[in-house]
Amino acid sequence: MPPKIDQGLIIILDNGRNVANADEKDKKSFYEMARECAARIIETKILSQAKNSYVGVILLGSKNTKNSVAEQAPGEFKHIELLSALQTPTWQMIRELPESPSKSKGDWMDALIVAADHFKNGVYGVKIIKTKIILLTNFCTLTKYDHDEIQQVLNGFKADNLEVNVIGPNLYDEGHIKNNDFELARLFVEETKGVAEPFGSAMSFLLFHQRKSVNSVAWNSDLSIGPDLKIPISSYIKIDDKPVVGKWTKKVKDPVTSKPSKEEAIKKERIFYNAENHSKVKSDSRTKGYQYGQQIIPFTQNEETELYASGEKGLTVYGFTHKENIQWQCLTDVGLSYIFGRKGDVNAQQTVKCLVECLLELNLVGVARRVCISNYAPKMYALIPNVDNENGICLSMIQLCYKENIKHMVFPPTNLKKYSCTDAQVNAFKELIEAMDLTKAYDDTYDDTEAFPIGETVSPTAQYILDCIAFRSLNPAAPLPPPRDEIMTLFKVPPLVEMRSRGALEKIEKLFPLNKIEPRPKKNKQQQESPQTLTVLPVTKKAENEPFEIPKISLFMDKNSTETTSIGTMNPIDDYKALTNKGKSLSDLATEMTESIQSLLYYNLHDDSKKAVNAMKFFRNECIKSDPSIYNNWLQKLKISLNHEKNTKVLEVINENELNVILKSESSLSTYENEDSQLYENDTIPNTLPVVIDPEVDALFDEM
Amino acid sequence: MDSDIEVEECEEFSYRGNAGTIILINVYDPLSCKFPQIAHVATCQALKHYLRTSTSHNVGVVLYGIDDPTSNIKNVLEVMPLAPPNMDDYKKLKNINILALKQAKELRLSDALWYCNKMFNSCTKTLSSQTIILLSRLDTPPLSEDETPTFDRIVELNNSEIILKLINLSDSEYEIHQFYKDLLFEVNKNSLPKSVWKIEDVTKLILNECDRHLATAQLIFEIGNNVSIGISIYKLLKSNIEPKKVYLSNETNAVVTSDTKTTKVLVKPDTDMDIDRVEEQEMPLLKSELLHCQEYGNEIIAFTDNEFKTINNPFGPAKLKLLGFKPETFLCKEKWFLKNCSFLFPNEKSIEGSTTALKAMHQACIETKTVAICVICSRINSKPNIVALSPCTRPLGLDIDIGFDVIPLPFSENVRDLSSLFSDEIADTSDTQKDMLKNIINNVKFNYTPSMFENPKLQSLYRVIEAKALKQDDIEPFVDTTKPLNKIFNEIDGEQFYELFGPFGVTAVKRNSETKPANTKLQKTADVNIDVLDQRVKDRKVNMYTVPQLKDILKHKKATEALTGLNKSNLVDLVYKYCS
Repeated sequence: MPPKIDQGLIIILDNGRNVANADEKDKKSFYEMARECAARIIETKILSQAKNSYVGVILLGSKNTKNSVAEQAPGEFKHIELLSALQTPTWQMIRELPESPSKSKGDWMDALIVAADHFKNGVYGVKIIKTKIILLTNFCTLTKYDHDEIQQVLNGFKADNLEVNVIGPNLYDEGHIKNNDFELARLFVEETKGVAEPFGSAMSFLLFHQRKSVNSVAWNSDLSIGPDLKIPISSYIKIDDKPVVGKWTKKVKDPVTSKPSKEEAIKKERIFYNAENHSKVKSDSRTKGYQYGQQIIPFTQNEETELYASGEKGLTVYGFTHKENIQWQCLTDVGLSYIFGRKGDVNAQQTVKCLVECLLELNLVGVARRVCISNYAPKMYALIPNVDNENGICLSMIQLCYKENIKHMVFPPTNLKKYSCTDAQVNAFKELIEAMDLTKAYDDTYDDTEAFPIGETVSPTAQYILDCIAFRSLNPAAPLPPPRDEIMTLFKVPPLVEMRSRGALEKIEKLFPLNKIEPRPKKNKQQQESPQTLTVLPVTKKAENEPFEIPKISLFMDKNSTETTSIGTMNPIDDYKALTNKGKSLSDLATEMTESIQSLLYYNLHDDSKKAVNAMKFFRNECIKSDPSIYNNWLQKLKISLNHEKNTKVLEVINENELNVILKSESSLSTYENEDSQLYENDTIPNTLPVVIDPEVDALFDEM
Repeated sequence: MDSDIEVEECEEFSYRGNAGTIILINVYDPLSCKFPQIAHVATCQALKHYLRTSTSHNVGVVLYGIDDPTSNIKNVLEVMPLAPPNMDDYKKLKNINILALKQAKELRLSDALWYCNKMFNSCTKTLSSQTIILLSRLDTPPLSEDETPTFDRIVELNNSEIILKLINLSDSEYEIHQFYKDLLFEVNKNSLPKSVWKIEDVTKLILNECDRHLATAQLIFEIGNNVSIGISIYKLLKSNIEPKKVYLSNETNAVVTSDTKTTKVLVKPDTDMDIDRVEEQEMPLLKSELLHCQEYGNEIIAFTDNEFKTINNPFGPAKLKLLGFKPETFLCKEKWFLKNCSFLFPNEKSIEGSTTALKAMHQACIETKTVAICVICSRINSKPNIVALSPCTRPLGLDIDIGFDVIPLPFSENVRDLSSLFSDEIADTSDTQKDMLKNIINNVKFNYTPSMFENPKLQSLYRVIEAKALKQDDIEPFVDTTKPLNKIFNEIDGEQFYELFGPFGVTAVKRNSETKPANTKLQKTADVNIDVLDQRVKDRKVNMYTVPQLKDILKHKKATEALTGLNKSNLVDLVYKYCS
């Protein structure tokens, strides 16, 4: 049996002379609008990634004649061009749509026949379940077919289940009916159960991208109540949080074409190494362990599997509880599933229905233990009776939290006198609530007066990403546009609500003293080191006083006070030497030395960095002699913070004066083979360390 | 007014460092009320929790009212230093026989408080908070000559921003001694602590603040153009509760870390890549060379690294903005639960007066039975979401008066269409059926609380780790709270139930997916003739067989290789291997 294609769609776009003009001046011509609409339909098809749907394009009134019917009957079916045969939709189809109308004219009935023929004889190897034609024309070129012929064509369409839809002219606007062909078109639409829409409503339907339709897979099991009662059920995912756009792949840019390179690829490799001596460890010579307190307890795979046997797959009722006991806060995991009696089992379906009805009447919900796959960790679920207004009833299954999930946190008390609020204040909010009622956000001219309907509002992020993908494929070189206005309205209070709320807001503004507190400057160490704050540090004073103080120190100060106790910024090299003479080691002095160099680097940069460079050179040499890792480690950190602050000047100074990491060639103790890692440091993809993150911090960074 | 300032000072928390807690246990029990034992067991339980979560919380344990000749300070004994708890200290604490300890002749508190203060002062780590938890019965005051020094110490503690908390251990209510009343007034000016005696309750009080009070976001809640209040968003549930996994090297037992190296390699089409050569060609990958790609409409669509960052969130800074209000009935858990909700609490530190405003809104929402609909962008990099703010009190049983549940609402992209699954052919249910089922339901009613179920897999993992860590042979048993008690179902009459509702079993024609392919296989393989096979092997024409036929031939020849997942050419090669 040939593979099935759920839907085949042929777009017939009128490209003739008759659609070249605009109805009114300064407005888009019919062709422009029709082309836009056709492009949008194809784009939507591409972005919804409907793999089992085919699209084809036929031009009506094209200057070329290219169709299989015309080949069989030369001279007939002129100016009908099969632009794209039925296939999985591509961007190329959109690019191929002619920019402007031709000078020819075509018969729309001819085009319909060509389309029907293409459905029948043009596709091989697949079976199209649903066939659909969208006709974009203004019917200004009248058809030459007579009534009987048309009736014959229509009967053929009905026999083949071809649905005809018309977008563009308003076929039902009695005042504007221009010709007989409108009536014919209406006949086709009605008889084939299609629809006719003017551009405006069609485009508003295509305003947002649709998500790729997913067929939920059933999870079949038994719902057990006690050891004896088992009801066969099927559950299906109803709400999930999967990203609309799938996984992104990473590729290397070709420097010439700016497109993904065919010669180069990205390789990702996970390297394991010993945390103590940085030697490489093979992935299979590792044992898993768990941290317990400050200790690590090794754990073998066997021990892991023998831990806890959760038992067979199933859904076991623990009991039933009052609906009010299940609060939003105790629900966890992502999404929910609907439970029905097993498909095909009438009795099971009736039992589930009865259970839902009883729970609704008693205002109770079920709590059940679910083992999703035999021996997987069990999870607890709430089974809430659900009435779907349109469809019927079922149970909703949502995961409940475990005791271990609950955080031990304390919040400051709010029942203090100074936080109490008056009736007037509460009433002001009540007024605001009434004014900002979103169920009455639009007036009667709209289909629905509710704004932001739950589950029907589109995600701005998802829409924008899909917009960008479409834009990039059609405009490869252009920079990406900002989000469309339609997307930005999702962040705005509906105008009517906004207007109504003004009075109440003014009242609230008057009633509540709300004082913004300017954030206190953070006592961050890094900020202290930054140039702005450094100007007030004693280092500056020292520098100013330098010329006067030096002679004093060397001439009059007694021995004790000239004795160097720490490394300053004035003369770090001498300080260092003096301290080494006192028996201090490099590792003792390293922190002071690096701090001093850092101050010099940051502070002296505008005029002279010589002192810092000299001190660095000296320090580097000292490290080469004894322990290069001190210098290398410090430099790495410094560079990271410089990069972070985008302090390129200092980075340049370091590079110019050859003050980079100590290489193995300079000291055998160095771990740096070459400077490669340094060269690209500003730009290369950092190695990602899987840091063991404190679960609390981890939770902090969870996506909201 | 001054009292409030103090409370606010207590609120001060810092993101730097870890919390420090000293558990101060009174062992002076002249009336043999046995509260020191309760304190000891509860402290051990609390420490176990700290060990299990491998916390970096610094915990010390100090006993006072003790007569221990080895101790430097009279009547005070440090059992655990102020540090992240480790097993040795825990064992040491656990092995203390609290009953056998020699009690001091009289009770002194000032020295113990002074000692705790000293412990905090000499701690080399940065502490985000300093708390002393005092476990005692509050009816025996210290010596009268010790009272004034004790109050002096309390002032010192207040000055060093050390918080003192008292846990009142008693199995019955009693009159708290005036000394402790004064002391409590000095400490927090709040009401007197209720007595607790159950181990779990005491442990819970000790662990009250063991999770860091960190907000996931501190935002400005924009109600209107000129009206904004300061709020913080918290997660009340931990998502990751497993103990930390660490890998050890088999040879050296050293901790193994890893990193992922991303490099650029050359690909040569149509040539078999030599792995060694690839290694040679590895080059550093520059961020500017990186493209993020998607395949749509038969083409690869690429974005640069910078573009990729912008398309993921072009909507600007983090904020919470009010869009309007809706009746709370619009918000059904059973229809719209998307993911864990968060908790919103006023933040006086960014905008003064936020608590009062939020309180008024809280009350107004409750009275009008409405929820606020807002758009939230919790961090600069997070995606904007539409949320409902639903007023709540005491979420998860926590002691919080006001706040809002921040409930993420699904977008149309999150909802799947299941309308085809609803069947309208289900027969109506009869009253007898309903009565039967209601009877069953009422029999197994219970009162749900969020903390009633423990994760059994995790509990068993903890216990196995503990047994290994403490070198115990026996694993501590535990009750699997997720399993229902079978005895409550005894009343259910199974037979009657099946009579009314059954029999179950799929009655519709089931597409038997298992037998059909088997049949076709049979047909296709039936004509495998040994002679033909030999001939084909000879003529090197084995590829004329279908894949199932090839598999059957190999099975017949008792091939040892796993056949699933092999492509036809592999199978053909195998046939040649086994037939020649």
